[in-house]
Amino acid sequence: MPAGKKLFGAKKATTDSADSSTQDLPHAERYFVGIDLGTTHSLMVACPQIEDESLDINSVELTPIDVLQTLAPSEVEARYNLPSFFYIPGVELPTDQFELPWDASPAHLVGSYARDLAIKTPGRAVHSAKSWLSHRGSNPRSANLPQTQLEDVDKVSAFEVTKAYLKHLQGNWDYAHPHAPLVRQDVTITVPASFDPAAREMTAEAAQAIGIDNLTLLEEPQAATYAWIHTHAANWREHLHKDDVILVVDVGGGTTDLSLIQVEEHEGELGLNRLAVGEHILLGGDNMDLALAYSVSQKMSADGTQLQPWQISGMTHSCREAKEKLFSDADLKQAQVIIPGRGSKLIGGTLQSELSREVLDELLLNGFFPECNADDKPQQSTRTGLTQLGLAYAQDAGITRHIAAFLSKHAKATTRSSGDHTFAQPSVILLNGGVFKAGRLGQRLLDQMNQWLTTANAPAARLLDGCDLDTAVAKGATYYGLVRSGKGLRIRGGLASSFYIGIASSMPAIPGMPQPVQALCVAPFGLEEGDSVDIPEQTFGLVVGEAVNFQFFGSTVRQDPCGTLLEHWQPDELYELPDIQAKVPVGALSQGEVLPVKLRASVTELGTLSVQAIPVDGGEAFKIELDVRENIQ
Amino acid sequence: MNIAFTQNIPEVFDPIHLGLAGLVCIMLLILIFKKSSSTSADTTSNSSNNSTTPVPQLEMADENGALHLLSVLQRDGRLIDFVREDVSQYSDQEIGAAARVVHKGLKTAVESHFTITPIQLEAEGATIQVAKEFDTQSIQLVGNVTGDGPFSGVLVHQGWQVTESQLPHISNQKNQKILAPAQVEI
Repeated sequence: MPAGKKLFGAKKATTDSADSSTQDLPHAERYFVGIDLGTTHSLMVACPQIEDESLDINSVELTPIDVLQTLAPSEVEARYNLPSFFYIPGVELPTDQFELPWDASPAHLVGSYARDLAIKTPGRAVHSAKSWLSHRGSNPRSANLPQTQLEDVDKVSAFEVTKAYLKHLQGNWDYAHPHAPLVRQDVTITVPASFDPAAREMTAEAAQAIGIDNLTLLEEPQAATYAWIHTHAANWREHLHKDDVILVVDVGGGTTDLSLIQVEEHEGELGLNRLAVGEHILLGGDNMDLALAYSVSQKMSADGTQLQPWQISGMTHSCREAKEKLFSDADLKQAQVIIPGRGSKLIGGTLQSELSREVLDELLLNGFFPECNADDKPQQSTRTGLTQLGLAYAQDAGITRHIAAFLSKHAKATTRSSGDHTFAQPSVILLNGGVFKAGRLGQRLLDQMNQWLTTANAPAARLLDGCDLDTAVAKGATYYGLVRSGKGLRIRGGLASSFYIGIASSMPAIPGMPQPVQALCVAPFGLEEGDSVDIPEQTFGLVVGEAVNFQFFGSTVRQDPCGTLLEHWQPDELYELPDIQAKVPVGALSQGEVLPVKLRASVTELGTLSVQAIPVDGGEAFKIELDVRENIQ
Repeated sequence: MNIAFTQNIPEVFDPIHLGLAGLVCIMLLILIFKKSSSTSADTTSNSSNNSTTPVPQLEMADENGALHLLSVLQRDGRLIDFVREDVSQYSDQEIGAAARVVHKGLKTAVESHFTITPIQLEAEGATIQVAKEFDTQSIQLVGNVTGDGPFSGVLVHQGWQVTESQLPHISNQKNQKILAPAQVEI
């Protein structure tokens, strides 16, 4: 039994059966729950399940669930989101100072107060756990966070931290719905479209570890699209037409996520088809506010005021406000930036400076949304020597350049651009993320897109608007629950990449040259939930009791059928993923025996990739582990 | 209390009423001894239980709630720091910068706990009508107030009311008298 169940479900276990299906709950106590598990904060939205055939799902109300959390020692209050911060308390914060209504002695602190403490005591705090889940060089199960911890801090894994956030959301839900615990609801958790199979599985496992079994994963740009459809329930068909191509640009606190979705018509009905997803770009709204803060602090130090590290965080808040003020009032030349002192002398300790419009435009418009050509690529600086293992923050802050590269890469993905177009040509842009509250940024993006389109003699694109930028992803996730129950339009998607395993070629080895590797397609692009494919031609011999690693590749551009063996590919066509590992347990067979197997790939109902090895001469299939990342310390 | 009694005592003392009065006095004494900790306001309401409208009681405002509000206003808006500082030594510009911090913080603190709306939606300065039976707690009539109404007058202040409160859960272990802990950086 998972620990989470013990903590929050102990009281209920005596009255409820262990069956986690929703069948035995009365309708009023069954919900679709959507969770936006974000890099910087998480949100939960729910709607009751109504058994009514005539129900118009677009009239269903999607209600954000306020999250009770510790705001200050011994003080718990509801906020509309849960900041994704995790704090490992020491002697300075006894357990009884952060008890929750549903947990008298939590092991760790998460949420608002954890975020406040993360600034003051960074060595005890973990942030951006989500980015570590998809980190290519680090195993999310190994306890390696915080990276620079204090002596007496027991490190935790990104997986444990993710579980802690979900557990908090669960505790909060169960406290408010004692007769309808979360484990009994249909839960949809969103993941970046760019998450690799291992990171998706990690997210699913974290949810399953706290007892959530009725679980589905949904890509965030798709969730934003569902939220838009829900908001424009009555007339979305007036905004979108056959062959429209939607570019979803989701700039979160810490990541930028891109997707292309095409509007198609089948038998007179409009449908949506997700064509392509972007790479994992660690670049978000927080980077922008930080850039402003550093710029202002440089200006202040030029004027003789040196800022302390703690003042930078106050500065970041103040800069975000100044930014929003300047973007919302075009006549303002500058906005004040104020950093209150830490001591009790408020007036004497307060520093002030200004953020001017020139600096704002230069940093945000030209820094993050620079004008560029449609064939530009993000600038990569080659890393030299040993690099410390950290998060792979995007080296080029130019979001427009990342978009240009994404569209070029998927030039052939849309039917609109089936000609000799050099980039995929969206007709509609859907923006998501708090960053775009500054309307100027969205306009800049649209202007840039239209400049590319005009140059290519293509019709101009337009913006889709009218979504709540903060809650859209969680609302879309909730809406997806309704869609899955058979009501409303579903975005066709399936796997966002094709997947390949590396097979050593039979060529003779040449000294000094690495043995060439061939790539066998084991899971094709677009494979949908519940579907599976077999690779009948290839048989592998696995040694019982020994772990065998396979190289594993993904491709967002190649769409090979399952079983295709590639001898050559362009360097940017395939990207390498963490190895996958097969291990035949010693059981019916004895150690060292060779077991011939075939491979089968499937996409589970919850949306994760699963690769299985099936013994040729019958017998039980066993799972191939997708996540065997070694932890590089 | 005395006034309430004299109003209820009949002018002619017949034996039945005298007996009733004695009974009331005995019951009152029993009540007073039984609830020795109750206030006089409490006993008033018990003795005149034949009236249907509740008798107003004066109660001490809740100290914990007040202390908590102070600590929130300090945490979010640095209110205590602000009022405890000697403003005479600073320029208006310096005070202005700090006032922005206080204003922003107090706004967050107030708005995250209370939904506040105006009582009168008309523009201040407009002439408005006040009905005969008006709520004297929501509307305060000042100036040349005579008669029973309806009244006509100029709206001086639109008034504020809380339509919704969102209050925190506070551990009973918390020492509410600590408004802000002393902070020590190690």
